[in-house]
Parts: sequence; structure tokens; C-alpha cells
Amino acid sequence: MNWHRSWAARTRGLLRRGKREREMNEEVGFHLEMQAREFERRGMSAKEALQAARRRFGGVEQVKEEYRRQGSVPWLESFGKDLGFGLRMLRKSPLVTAVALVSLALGLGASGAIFNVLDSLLFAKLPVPHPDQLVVLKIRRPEEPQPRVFYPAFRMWQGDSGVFSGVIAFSRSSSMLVRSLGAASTPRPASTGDELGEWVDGVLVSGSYFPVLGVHALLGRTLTADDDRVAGGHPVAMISHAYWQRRFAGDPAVLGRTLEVNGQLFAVVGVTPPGFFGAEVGEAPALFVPTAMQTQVHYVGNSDIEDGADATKPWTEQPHIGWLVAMARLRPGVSARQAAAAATVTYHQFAAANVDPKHPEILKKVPAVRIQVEPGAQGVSRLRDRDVALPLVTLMGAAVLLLLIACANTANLLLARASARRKEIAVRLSQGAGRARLVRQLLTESLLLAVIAGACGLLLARWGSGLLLRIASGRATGWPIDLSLGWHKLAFLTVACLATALLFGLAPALQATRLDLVSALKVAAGSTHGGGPRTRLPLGKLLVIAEVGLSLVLLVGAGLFVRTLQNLGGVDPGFQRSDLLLVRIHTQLMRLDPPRLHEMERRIQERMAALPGVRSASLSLHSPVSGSQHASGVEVPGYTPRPGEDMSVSEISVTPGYFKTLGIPFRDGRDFASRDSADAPHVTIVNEAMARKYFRGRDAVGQRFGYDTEKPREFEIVGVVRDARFYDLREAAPPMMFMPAAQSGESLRDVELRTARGMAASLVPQARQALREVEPTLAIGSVGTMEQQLERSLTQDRAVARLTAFFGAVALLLASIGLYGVISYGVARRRSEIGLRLALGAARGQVLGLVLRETLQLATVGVALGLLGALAATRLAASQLYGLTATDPLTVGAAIVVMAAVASLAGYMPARRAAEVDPLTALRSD
Amino acid sequence: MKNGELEKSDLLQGTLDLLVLKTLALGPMHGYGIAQRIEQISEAVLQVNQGSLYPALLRLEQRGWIASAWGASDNNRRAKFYSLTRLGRRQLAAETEKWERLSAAIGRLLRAVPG
Repeated sequence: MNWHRSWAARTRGLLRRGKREREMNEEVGFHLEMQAREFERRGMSAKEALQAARRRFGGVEQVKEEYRRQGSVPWLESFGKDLGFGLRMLRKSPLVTAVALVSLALGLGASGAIFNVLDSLLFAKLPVPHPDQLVVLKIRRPEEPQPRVFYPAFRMWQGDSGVFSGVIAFSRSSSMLVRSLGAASTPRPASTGDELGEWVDGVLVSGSYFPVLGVHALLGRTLTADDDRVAGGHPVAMISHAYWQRRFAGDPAVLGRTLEVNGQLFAVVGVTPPGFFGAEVGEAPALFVPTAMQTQVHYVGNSDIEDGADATKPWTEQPHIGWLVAMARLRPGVSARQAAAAATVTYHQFAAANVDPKHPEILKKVPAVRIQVEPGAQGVSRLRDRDVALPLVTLMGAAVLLLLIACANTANLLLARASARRKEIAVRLSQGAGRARLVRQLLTESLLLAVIAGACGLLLARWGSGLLLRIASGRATGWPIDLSLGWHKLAFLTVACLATALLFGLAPALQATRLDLVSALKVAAGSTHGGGPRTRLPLGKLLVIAEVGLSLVLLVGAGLFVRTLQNLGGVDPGFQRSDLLLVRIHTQLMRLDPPRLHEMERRIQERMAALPGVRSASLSLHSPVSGSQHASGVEVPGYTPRPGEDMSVSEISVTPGYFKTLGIPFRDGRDFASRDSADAPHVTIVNEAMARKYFRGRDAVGQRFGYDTEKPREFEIVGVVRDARFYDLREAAPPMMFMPAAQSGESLRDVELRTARGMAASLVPQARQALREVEPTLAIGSVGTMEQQLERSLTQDRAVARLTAFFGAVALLLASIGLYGVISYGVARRRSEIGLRLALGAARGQVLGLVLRETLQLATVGVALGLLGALAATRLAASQLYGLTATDPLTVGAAIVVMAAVASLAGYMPARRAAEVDPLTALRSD
Repeated sequence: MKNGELEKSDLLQGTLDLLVLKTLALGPMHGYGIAQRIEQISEAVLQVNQGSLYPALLRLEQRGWIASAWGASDNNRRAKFYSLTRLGRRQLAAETEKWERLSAAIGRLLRAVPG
């Protein structure tokens, strides 16, 4: 009856404990005073009266305690007491607490930060209604590259309304030069560095994009199907919320404003909502324009151009240019398999109607093509590619290892402290405290430790995940992915915290409370270490062995990654990397006809070569390691490809002087010259890999081959150059061909300057100035040295190497603390034994050796187990290594030596203390 | 642990509760005063175990039968005064009736003549 009322009162009592305690004291004090006064009235002295009053009252403290117990919730209150006690214990041994806290916080923070990034990257769903209905449509061809989606195919899928409630297509463009017209009120951001406009990322989207995704405009309207009907007929654009804020200061008058995008005028019709970054995660497009405007914005990136295509005509009319990502919304109740079947049938119809009759062999392959329907709730992202996600997964593994080591270390520290408290625990057990109650109290202390560490870890994770993103992306802003700590990230950290507390707290708590009371109490009061050595040491040793083993795994891993970075940094790319300045230009935006384009490029080359400090200059479609790659198939007379063999060759259009500027030596033949003009026979220079593969044993110079599916031409080889790594420092050069820009007619995008020694970086302003003088309307992109470009390409490797090295160092430190603790404990426990040995004539050196040997025994077992672990763990990281195998003997050997050295050091200090034991005092103390 | 306490205080508790409620029915009073008055009225037959008085007061308050407020005592000291609530008055009536039935029964039992 009335239990709820009384519990409410108790809970209130708990909350106002301080006040209740004061009032209780006052009330009891009043009572005693009144009683004493009464006794005084009966003739007692003041002192007697007070004593009598106390006697009359009974045990004042017991009453108070009873009063307290009743006024509160017992287990909550005991939890509170345990917390207070735990805090006092933590404060009592600040060094132990600090080591435990720092190591746990590092482990929790690091794994939390990495989990945060991984979670955002891999698992976060698009911020649209019903994201789970979304799927990605992919074309799968057996034994052939998987092309992007063709616009007409996307249109046909839109007709599959039985399975899809909507289909969208989009393609990202990283080069949109935007100029705001009639925008005098908003100042141009200083960061663009170019008066001609600002380079932004944009997306070409189908008219169905916003309606099907279910995204509404924050301001104005979204693009609709009516904005995407006629090629070139819809100059309307949406801008992103971030761009609107940054560029237009959030001015609502932006609607109806005109933007010039790559030379084409667009009217702004709407602003997208703040959290929406498009369906491609990791990108932050500023502009959304209709796919119908592809030609007008000069979209050329990320495309697969097949036989029979004409890339100069609008791509929305081309059945042979794959350039889009297609996604769809499944109708409720439709399975991915049903949708795939329907989309495949549609695709076969599309292919049958569109394949060029001149290519019957393609038609034969069509029935084998399948449309794959993959989950699309998380959008698409190139960040989920193996090579981006894998380093993060590796780091996650390293962080978890670190956390485990921190747990083992903390468990060991707690174990040592618990054994120092054996007497206290024994007294409490003998007074009738339940073992469960004591375990609970010890676990409360562990939990307290874990929670404090977790809170620090949370801060570390918040700070670290942004940092991690910047490191991993190699950009100052990181990738625009949502890193806010949602519930499942916090849940991860909470679970990690609790698991950690149990992991390091439970074993010591159970062990400490499993006591033989009599022997524990019998121990002399002066000794801190109570008897029962057999109950304490095995667990402690086991933990130390685990620490050493796990640390070795981390050390080996760190060593492998550091050496990989060294190898990559020292790799000879095949060109001279120093004293090379690169300037990106955007000639394609000037819409010049080929002769005038070529003329301008020639003037640029001349002017740049004439700059003081510049030895030679050239232009090319792209410079090495810039991330761009163009490839197409070749047909070589006399070379019969195996079925399904990759016949593609990477190509680059260059000006004469390119190889001299880059420092790539000729193996044979000659450089391009001015006589290789547009009307002269097509000539090419190939690399050694190409010469080896297709002209084995023959002199390549003078040979001819057919190239290019778009405009098939025959080329004569006039030169062979040394292999150089243009695309990936890890991989040997693929077959490559270079053609003279004058003949290919392509707009060149990179200017290379070979400078005098050490002058590359200082020539940036002069280069910009000179370009402006040659061509005032030419848009200039990024400017930087080749060394910087190479550095950037190693960003991820550097991040992995640095972080694992840091984790490894911390692990080593923790393992040495663990070893030191266990050995010191052993020495203290065996003081009398050591004293006896010394008294019986053992040499001090022998004692030193005895203790050191014990240390190294532990370390050896740990190292042996660690080696097994390292073999298993580093195999997973093998694909990220360069220039060495996962079992590289030098790295593994070095890790073992470092571990052994640190272990010896950790054992030496207690060993010396053992050797310095004074036999007399040691024997007397027992 | 819990069981032991219950056994020890069960009988006492009920009785003490009734005495406290009855005393407070005469008017608000502080803890010391309650103890004194019980002793006076019972002509010192009932000696209140002062140690259990305060926990009892707290218990009664938690059940909502009495309320407390700080006020000034006769000698102008700050003291906590307890008073009977409406709920407490009802409880007193019920307890009184129960007690009277019980004591009557015990009385009859004790007066019974063996035969």
C-alpha cells in the first residue's frame, strides 16, 4: 500500500541527500538538547545531562544510519557510495590511474574516431525519404569492362514502371568554371585565385533526379522532367545550400540570377536543402544542371566511349557513350531480383535496337549482358572503393589492437592494486560482506575508469575523426560526409566502454575476492603483498604475455607500413621528379577551332620556355600522377590477342619537348617535331612496355598499328621512351602511347616547366603572370610542383604509416609498463628468498640474471605468440604494401629486436633492485 | 539482513505508529515533544524507544500520514513540527478500531476462566 508514494519520497530523498542529512542532524541535535535540559532541570550537571540524553536516545549514529537507509534507495545509494569510494581509490594511486586512463582513452578515442568515419562512409543512408527503396543499376558484361550507363538505356528503364516507381541518372563533373553575372553586391571569394571565375564541382542530373529522390527545394523550385527534354534547351540550374551561403551570402534574390558555367549561361531556379549533397556520398556539388545541357557545359569526364559513338554530338542522344550512374526507386513489394530481370530484358531490347549493324560481333555478346540491381540506400561513392576503405579498415584493426593492449595493461594494474588491497578485502569479507557486493564494488571502480576514459575518448574521437578525414582525403576540408555523432556511433562507444570495463575489470575483481581468509588475514600488517602467490601470478603473467604479443603485431604492422612509405617515397617514377612545375589550364573553355587552339598552345609553350629560370616547357593533356587516364584499344598487325585480353593502351597528347621537360630518356627514335602537323601522317611515341608487349623482338620504331575506336587511325612509331609511372607509383607502367597534340586536336590541360635547380616553387607567380600575358581570358587551375603532386598521391600511405607507428609506440610503452609491473611484483614478493640466496653466497650478478631471465621468458612467449598473430594479421594488409612482403624478414626482425630491447629494459630496473637487496633486512622483515 | 530487521520491529512498529498518530491528533508537535507526551499521558508506562522514533516519523511521513514543517519551539529554537494529514486521520481511525478489537479480544482471552 502506498508503495509508490514512499518510493517517490525515497527517490526525492536520494536527490536531496545533502539537505536531508543537515535536517536530520538538526532534528536529532534539538532532541538531545531538549532532553539534556530536562535532565539538567532534575539536577544533573550539563555534562552529565548531555551524556544521559545520549544514552536515553540510544546509538545516535545507528539511528541516523537507519534513518538514512530508510530515506533512500539502498542499491542506488550503495552504487553512489561505490562511485565515491572508487574515485578515492583512483585518486590514491594517480600514476596507475593516469596510465590506465591515457591508454584506454587513446584506444577508445582512436577506434571511436575510425569507426565514426567508417560508419559515415559505409553505412550512412542518403538523407531522403525511404532510402531503402533506392537501388543502383549497373551493366555487367562478361569478361569486359563494365561501362557506365548510356542515356538512352536510362530512358528505357524509366518505362519499366512495373518494378520502378522512378529512375534517375546523374554524372559528376569536377570542372565547372562558374562566373556570376550582374552580381556586384557579393564580393568574389579571395580563394579562387582567378578573375575568370571559380572552379566548382557540379552534377548533371536527369529531370527525374529531385522528384524521384524526394528532395524539395529550400528556395525556389527543383529541376523537373520538363527541364530535361531537349538537348541544349534548358539553361536552368539549382545551386547547393553551401554554395548559396558561401557565394551569395544566403541572399534569396539569387533566384533568377544568371550564372555562366563553362561559358554557358544558366538561370538559377532553386537552392537545395542544407544536408543534401546529392546521391554520391563524399562529394559536395555546388551546381545541379540538367543532363540535356551536357554539350553546353563541355562535360567529358568519366565516360566509356564505344565503337560507333560521336563524342562531339550531345551525349543524351548517344547509345554508345556510357557516362551516367543510374539509380531507381523500387516499387513497394518488388524484389531486387525481379527488378533486375525486368531491367535486363529492357536492356536487351535497347541493345538490339541500337547496336551498329557494322559490328555484329557486339550484337552476339548482348544476350550475356545482365543488369545488376544493388542496394542504393547509401547512394554511390568512390570512397567505398577498396583502396579508400581498406586503409581505414586497417587503421581500425590497429586501433582495436591498441584498445586490447590498453585493456590488458589496465587489468594488470588493477590486479596489482587489488593484491595490495587483499587485507582490506579480507577484512570486509570476514565481516560478512557478500562476495558479489565486493565484486560489484571493484567493477564499479573499473566502470568509473572506463567511463572517464570513454568521455576523454569521445572528445578525442570527435576531434580525431575530422582530422582522419582530412588526412585520408588529402584535402584541407576533408570529404563532405556527415560526421555528427548519431545514436549508433554513441552506442558503439558506450558498448566499447562497457566491454572494456568488463574485459579489464572482471578478472581482477573475481581473482581479488577469491581469498583464503585465514591466510590473508594472517599476513603481517607491514607487508603489502599478501600470501597466495599462486593465485595472482598466472593471470598477471598471462596478461603481460598478451600485451607483448599484441604489441608485436602492431610493431610489425607499423614497420611494414613505414617501410612501404619509404619505398614509395624513394621509388623512381621514371621521370625526374624534382624541379618540375605544373600548371593546369583550361583551353577547352575557349572554344577555339583546332588551328587557333594549336597556335595558342604553341605561344604558351614559347612564352613559358623563355621565362628566366625555366630550362624547357611543354604542354600535355595531363601530367603524370595527376589522376587522369585516357585509354583505348589498339589493333596491332601480327599480334593476335587471347580471348578477353585487355588490348587497351593509355594515351597522352603532348607537344614536342615533353619528354625532355619531364626528363624521360629516349630509348630509340626521335621526339615529335613541328613537321608532325595535322596534315602529316599520324606518328606516335610509345613506351618500352608497349614496345615489349606488341613488338617483342622487333624494332618498334617504324612499325605501324591501328588505334582508337572513336576515330580509327593508323599510327607509325617514331620513338620509344623509357617506362615511367604515370598513374600509380605502386604499379609498373602499362603500355602507353604519346601523340602530338597538333595531330590529335585535343585541348591540352597541363603545362610542365623544367626549372633550374630548386626554383620550381618560386616560379609560381611568374608562370601565372606570363600565362595571363599570353592569353588574358585563359582559365588557370591549380599550380604546384611535381613533388607536391607526388606527396599528395601518398597521403593515405603516410596517414596509415604515421598512425600505426604511433599506435605501435604506445603499445610498446604499455607492454613495457606491464612487464615492469609484473617483474617488480615478483621481486618484491621474493625479497626474502633473494635475501636468503645472497646470504648463502649467490653473486649479485646471478640474481640480476635470474630476474632478467624471467622477464625474457615472458617476453619470448609473448613474441612467439605475437609472431603467429602478426603472420595472420599482416596477410590482410599485404595489398597495401609496396616493395616488401608481409613477412619481410628485416621488418619482423627489427620488431622483435625492439621488443626484446624494451623488455630487457623493463626487466632490468627490478632486476637491479633485486640484486641490491640487503640480505639482513630482507630476512628480518619476515 | 532485511529479514532480521523486519522481525525485530514488526510489533513495535505498529504500536509506535499508532501512538505517534494519536499524539499528533492532539496537535502539531516536534519529535522530542511526541516522546515526552507519550510518556506523560501513559504515566511513564510506555517508554518510547527514542532511537526508533525518528525512523518511524520518517516512515509515516513517506506514507503521507503525517506532514512536517520547520517552526519555532516553545523556547524559540528551530524545530521540525509534525502534524497529522487527512490520510493520517483516516489511518488513525482504522488503526484505533483495529487496536480496540485486538485488545478486547486479548482482554476476553485473559479473563476467561478455565473450566
